[in-house]
Amino acid sequence: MSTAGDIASQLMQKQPGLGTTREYSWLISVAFSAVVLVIWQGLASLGVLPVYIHGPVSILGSVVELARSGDLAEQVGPSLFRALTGFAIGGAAGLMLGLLAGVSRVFRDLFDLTQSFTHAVPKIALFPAIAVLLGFTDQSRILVIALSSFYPSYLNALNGALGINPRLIWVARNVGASRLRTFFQVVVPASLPRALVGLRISLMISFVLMVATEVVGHSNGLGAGLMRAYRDGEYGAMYAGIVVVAVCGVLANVVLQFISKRLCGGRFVSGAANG
Amino acid sequence: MLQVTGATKTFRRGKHVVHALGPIDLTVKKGEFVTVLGPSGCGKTTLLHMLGGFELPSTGTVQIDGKLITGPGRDRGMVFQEAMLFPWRTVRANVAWPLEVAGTGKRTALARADELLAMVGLRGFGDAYPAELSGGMRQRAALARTLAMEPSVLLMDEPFGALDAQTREVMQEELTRLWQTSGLTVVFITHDINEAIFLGDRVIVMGASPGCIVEDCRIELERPRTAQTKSDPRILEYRTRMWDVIRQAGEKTPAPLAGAGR
Repeated sequence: MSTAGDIASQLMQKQPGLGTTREYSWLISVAFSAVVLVIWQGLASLGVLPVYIHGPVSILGSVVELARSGDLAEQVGPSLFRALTGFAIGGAAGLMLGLLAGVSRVFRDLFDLTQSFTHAVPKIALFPAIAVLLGFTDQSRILVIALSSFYPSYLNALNGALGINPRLIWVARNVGASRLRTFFQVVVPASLPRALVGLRISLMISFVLMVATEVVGHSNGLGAGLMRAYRDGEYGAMYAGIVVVAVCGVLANVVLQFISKRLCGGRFVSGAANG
Repeated sequence: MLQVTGATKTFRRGKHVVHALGPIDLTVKKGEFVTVLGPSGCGKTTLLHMLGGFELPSTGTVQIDGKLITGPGRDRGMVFQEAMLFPWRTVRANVAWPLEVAGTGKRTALARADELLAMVGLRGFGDAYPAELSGGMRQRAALARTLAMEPSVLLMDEPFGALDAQTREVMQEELTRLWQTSGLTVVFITHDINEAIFLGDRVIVMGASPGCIVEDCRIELERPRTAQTKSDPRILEYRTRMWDVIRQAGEKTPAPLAGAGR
């Protein structure tokens, strides 16, 4: 039984017997990050870096300061609310319409042209237009985030559904399952691995658009905090903001991955989606 | 009883109309084990799909017990070359699925699934996921899932084709054992001559372009057949005869490449 990850590691290995264990590969990841941080800190301590680039220790201090002042809690709340609401709306819509388009020619034809035209437009470019309508409000920010996060979910759910082995559907037809049951008990779970990849991309895009929409107009949140710190020349707070955005993104991804693993059950024992 | 009458299959490839199969006339009696032997591209799978109701004949009819087959049904259970289990369900839940679809309560369905798994030699593997099983075990589970529909006909499309030689031998013996007491009608597609002879009451040999039946041979080996049957000298005789037929059919018809796309 080999996982997809195992296959990659086996390709790189000279001796298949000495397999990279889970703990070991985790160690490598941490060690690499640590080396990068140490070199960075070393350069900062030596004074080689320009003054406007801070070292990791100093940035960590700024994060602590930001947290102590209460600014952090004040910024993270509204930002996360926008990113996650936008993601939930856009991701869910993309997932559902993608699956529908995957099983229905009519839906696919209906969406395809519109999708390919609108996909190419950077959604942040629509922000001013939306602001004319809704102002620089939470609604308009969430709308932009939702629009952006729609596409990866839609496309991956669509391709997930299109890539299902047709024989699985034959099994359902043989058994006499209704169309509705076949959709929910065969198509949805069979498309899920690919669809979840789409959701993961959507989540990351939500965080990108979260910052982007907060930088513009009068806003609160992490993006606005970043811009304020930049304007006031408080580079420490600025870097702290960037770190907090990254940490929020990583944590959200961890949660999503955890849910994904739960949803997919034991099937990734071998990474195969059509055993 | 399965009855195929003058069934043909043609399909369009671009501007050409390809005559792939037939006309085929075939009757399979209730409880009979019929194996269909033929080279790839002879339309034996198409014939099986017609019996399953997954494809309809272009002309002619396919009937079961006098009723026209117009689509798939639980009375005709398909087993594919790949097991086609749902990878997101445990083996037990896979086997229980046809019962759930039919409206059986979850608890009853799962209990019945365990019985079926025991029957195909997978006792204790109910909690495993398909990805954790070997190819042979997956095929056993697929058979159990098909049997859960309580079909009267089993349609098997090279079900042991992807298995290693030893596993295949064992599976053949198990299948005859299961069939012996089941009363099932079986149509079994294969390109393995020994398999066709060992399993079948009748071996239907098909030729290609267009697919047609070139020989319908009754196998007079006693039932029940076991591993010992495989060393019966008559198997060799049947084998020689089949080979002659297949060779002649090959000479008669144009080379596959020339026939394709016409």
